[in-house]
Amino acid sequence: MIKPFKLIAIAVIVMLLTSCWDAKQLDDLYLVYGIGIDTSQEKQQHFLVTIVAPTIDPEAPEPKVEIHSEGESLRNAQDNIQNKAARRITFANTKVLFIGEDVANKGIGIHIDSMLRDPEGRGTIKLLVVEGRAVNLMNVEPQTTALVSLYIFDLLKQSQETSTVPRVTLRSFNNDLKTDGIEPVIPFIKYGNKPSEFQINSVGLFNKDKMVGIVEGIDSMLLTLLRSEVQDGFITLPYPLGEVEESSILTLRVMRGKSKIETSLINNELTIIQEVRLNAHISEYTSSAPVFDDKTIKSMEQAANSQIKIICEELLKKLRNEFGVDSIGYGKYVKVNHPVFFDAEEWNEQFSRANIIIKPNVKIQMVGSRQ
Amino acid sequence: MISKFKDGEITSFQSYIMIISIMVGTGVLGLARSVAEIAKQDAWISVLVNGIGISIIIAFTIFVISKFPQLTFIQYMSLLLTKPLAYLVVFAYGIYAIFTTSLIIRFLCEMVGTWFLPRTPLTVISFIIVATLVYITKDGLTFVGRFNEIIVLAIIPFIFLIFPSLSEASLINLKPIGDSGIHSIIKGIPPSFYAFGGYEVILIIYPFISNKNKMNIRYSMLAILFVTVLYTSIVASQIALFGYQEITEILYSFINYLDVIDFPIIERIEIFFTFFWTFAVIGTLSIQFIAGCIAFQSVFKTKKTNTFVYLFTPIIYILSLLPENSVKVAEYSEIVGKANVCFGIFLPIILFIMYLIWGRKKAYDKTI
Amino acid sequence: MGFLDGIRASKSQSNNKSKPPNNHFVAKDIVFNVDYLEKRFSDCSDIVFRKIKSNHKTNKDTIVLVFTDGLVEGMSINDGIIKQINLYSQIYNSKKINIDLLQNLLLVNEINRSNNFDEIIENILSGNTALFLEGSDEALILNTRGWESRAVEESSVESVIRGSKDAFVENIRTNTALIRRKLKDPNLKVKDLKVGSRSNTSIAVVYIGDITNQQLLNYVVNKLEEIEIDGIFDSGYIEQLLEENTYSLFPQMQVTERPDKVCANLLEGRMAILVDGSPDALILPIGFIQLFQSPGDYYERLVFANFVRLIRFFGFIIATTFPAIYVAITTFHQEILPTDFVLDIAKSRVEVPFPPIIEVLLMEGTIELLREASDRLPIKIGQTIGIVGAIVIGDAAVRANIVSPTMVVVIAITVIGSYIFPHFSTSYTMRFIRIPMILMAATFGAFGIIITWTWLIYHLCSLNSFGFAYLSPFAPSNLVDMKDAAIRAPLFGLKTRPIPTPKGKKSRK
Repeated sequence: MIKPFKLIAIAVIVMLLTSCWDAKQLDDLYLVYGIGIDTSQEKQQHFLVTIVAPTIDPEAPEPKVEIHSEGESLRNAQDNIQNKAARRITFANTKVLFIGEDVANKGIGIHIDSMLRDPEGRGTIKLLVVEGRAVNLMNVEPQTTALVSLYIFDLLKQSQETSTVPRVTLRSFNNDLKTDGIEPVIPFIKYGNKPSEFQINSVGLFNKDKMVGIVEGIDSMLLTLLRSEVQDGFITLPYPLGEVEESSILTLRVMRGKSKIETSLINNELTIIQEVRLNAHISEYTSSAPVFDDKTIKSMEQAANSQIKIICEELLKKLRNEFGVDSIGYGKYVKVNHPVFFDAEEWNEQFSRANIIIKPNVKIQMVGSRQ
Repeated sequence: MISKFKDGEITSFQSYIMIISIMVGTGVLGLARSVAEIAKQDAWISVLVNGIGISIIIAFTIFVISKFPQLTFIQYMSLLLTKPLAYLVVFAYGIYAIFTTSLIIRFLCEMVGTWFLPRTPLTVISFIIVATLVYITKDGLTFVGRFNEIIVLAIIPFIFLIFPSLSEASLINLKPIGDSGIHSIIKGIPPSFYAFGGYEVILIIYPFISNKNKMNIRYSMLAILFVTVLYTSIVASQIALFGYQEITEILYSFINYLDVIDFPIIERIEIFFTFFWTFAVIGTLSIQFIAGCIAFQSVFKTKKTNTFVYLFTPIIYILSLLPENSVKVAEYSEIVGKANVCFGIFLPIILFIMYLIWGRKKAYDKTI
Repeated sequence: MGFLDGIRASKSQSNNKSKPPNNHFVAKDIVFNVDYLEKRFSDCSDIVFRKIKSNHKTNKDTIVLVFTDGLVEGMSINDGIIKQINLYSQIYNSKKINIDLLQNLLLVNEINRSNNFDEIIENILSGNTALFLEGSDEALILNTRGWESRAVEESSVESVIRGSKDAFVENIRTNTALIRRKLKDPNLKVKDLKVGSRSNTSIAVVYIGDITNQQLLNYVVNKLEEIEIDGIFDSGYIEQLLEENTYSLFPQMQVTERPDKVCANLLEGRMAILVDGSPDALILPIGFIQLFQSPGDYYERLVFANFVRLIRFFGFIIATTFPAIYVAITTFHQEILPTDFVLDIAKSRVEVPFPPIIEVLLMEGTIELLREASDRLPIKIGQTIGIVGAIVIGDAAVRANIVSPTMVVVIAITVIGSYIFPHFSTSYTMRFIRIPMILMAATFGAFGIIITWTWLIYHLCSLNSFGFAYLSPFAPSNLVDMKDAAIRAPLFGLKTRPIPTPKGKKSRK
């Protein structure tokens, strides 16, 4: 009984002393926080990949290191980057994937697959389409943090929490890509007024894996709302409804909202009704008239409903006619309710021909601390 | 001294735990995908039906073998089938068990190699697993039973890990319920056999239970139903999250299921999951391996089970390294799934029929 | 001398377990007896031969007392024996004393008779006085024991906040008395044995007669009687000679200095072994759960008692696995850590030249050295060394970049965690388990930790403490007994005994 144990013990000890294949020292790694993809300016089919990682050594002159290299594909470029890197690159902590505008227009499906296949890659990497080229963005040095990737990651998080842009991760993008009846979207980042200032209040719309357009500002927020991802956003409208110069401004802070989508098919004509329920608090009312009155509240709600309805239908018109993509996901419901009618390939076509009615239902719960 | 159990005996409770432990293993990872490929969004119904079916089968099985409380596997098999046939079947079961063990070891090595240790050669990982397996099984069934009682607790985190990602799931992915049609649902059952496989080990371990009683049938069914509910919730939540279209692309859906949201302290919760899952698989391996060795021991009538444990150790080590790549592993697991149907479904049915035909008389003869 | 050779020869043949009939008996001639003893005790200057002439007519010694100076209480010999004899001989000068008369005369609380020299010698060496009377072929054995021993005081290694503070001492009789005071039950049996061919140490097996498993009792007593060793100085010897799995890392008997712990375990059907000269009692059989239990758990109120118990379980896991987890995460699985934390750890590690595994081993080694050294230090130096150790390890090592600060925190928590056990020997266990776990974690990361835990769990599963499954009541599962395992039920709910007992004795009455 003891003998086989001794043999096993010896074997194990020998292995322990000669192995450790996988040991990676923390300070031998470059922890990449952001990756950027652009089309290569030199070769037609190649891509330029940039990575940014912090140098951990406090005595190093630069707090971060930025390397870029070209390759035929994402992984290929990554290998080329490794040749320029003094330490081993690991993508395990990557937070953001910056996609250059031109790459987005070309189609990012292949890159998504590269990132997903390797188990080191995480499904929660946030995607961002960059105005212009990603490499320029990643070269920027923000004033408040050392790494631009972390800065933008936080910026993105804020925007998502105020529901200005939908929350899109690698995994959810892939999900929308592969599922019939919905087209993916990715938040879009623009430069602000100063060179190191950024703004995330637009959304890039994709048809399959190619970007076809951008909606911004209030449209971007509405898209988030219609995709049922709203958490904590602001809607501003003039109240009483009318000309902006004459009326006072009512700003509602919308909290969670549920939406119900119903479809009906009459004579081969598709009607989609989306009822959006929103809980709101009054955040600002520039007039000094009192609001603590049930009638006032009700009429405010009405005004909000009509305003939202109008701007939503404008957005939908854009989606249908200008871009031709169903980024909201009505198709999933149509597929479930009318499987025969639904055509996976032609859904975008069917979408542009359908009647869509939005029924907002705002409920103002609290009015703030003033009358 | 004051031990309650002689060598090789287990309690009823341990037998229920062993049923659960051997079923929850490598199959749970890819279950959602393999069934959703065929049954689409109703894959969870297939899983549920499969589970209920299996619990009924195990009820029949225990009913039959409880009529021969003092006989071992090979003995009551010889009684119900004829002796040479029984020997053949038991021998075949032994081969099946050994083969399955190697396959599961290989699968575990691959998982460990993918998520934990990418650069470590498979030979080393497999060696460690085989060494651990030998250590666990060399002392016989009693200790394997006790060991599994502790290890089965590693399944509890699975239950908890279902919940977090539900916030990203949407029920719409599960609808329309039943729309794939009964046909697809039924066709979706065979791929899930591999995940449910293992319960036929009750044929081997039942004779070792020291306190057999009427509740065996009931609680064994409950054990299988528990696993069924667990699997159904796993499959349903994964389909709700991914939708049946994306899930067909993902090989190991459970691990990717955990990848969708950010957790506050531990960034990659899937490593956490793999940690507990490895324990569950080690539990499965221990039972499967010792079942095979017991089968061989009864065929060759050796005194101790140890002989076969040591004998088969190099064999399973080599077998686990044989398949060349993951695709081959998947192929072999399909074969194992089919073999599992034979031993798990056909054999109990045949035994039941044989029992009805002439078993009653033989049991009566035995008790005289 | 002929008969002395004979004595030596027969002594080397006989061993402790069965005394062959010894043919050295007390003779009627007192000179022969005294001579024999003087030869046996030659060069033993502390054996006193007190000769009393009680009959002045002849010149013979009538009575001789033999005792060991230092083991006897002088007063009881003076007042109880010599005074009485002199009194008698003054009053009844002519009458002959015989042995029965003497027995009634002497003021001693325990008198036995013996005619076997080996028995007499054993008694003399135990502190009794042997009295030889001219003309009698039996000697009287008088209980005159009394020697210096430690007072009953608080145990230094096993203290509770709430509960009695008395602890066992080195005297076996005091110890059995401490147990008797808590369990005033005639069923509490104390079985006496002598183990050790030259030390003749008294061993007492204490058990409650109608609750204990007779089979186990017989097994233990047989095994004790079969022990062949020349000296037993501590219960540790008995523990090692009795236990069945010598190479296991886990103790199969519990060691305690507290009588209340012993009594509680006795009531559960276990038995205790007391060794003369050792303040540590052994309790057997035990399970893994006993290592986590402290008597204080039962004296505190329910919620806090369970809370403390859970902390102990948690402490067990931390003490064994925490350094291994640290090594595994920083070497293999850096992706688990949140971003900021990873950066911090990376920054603190960038100056350190060694990989985490070497750091951990260095720190562990230093801590072990410190601990061993502080066991031997006199109290005065201990304080200084403690400060030096803290400064050296904590501060200077970090500044010299030999270890990283995170590592120091990890090791500190681990060290404190390993002392969380009421049962002191378990801390050795945990220190020992930690090392293979760290090595496996350093080679195989989280997989290594899994494999080590698997081996550990299996080892615990397969361990039997005298037939009692070590991991009971978890494996084999016994739902009734789980009432007192991980957490305990309220006292009014603890109605049954957890180990196999004879029929009818399962419930506590």
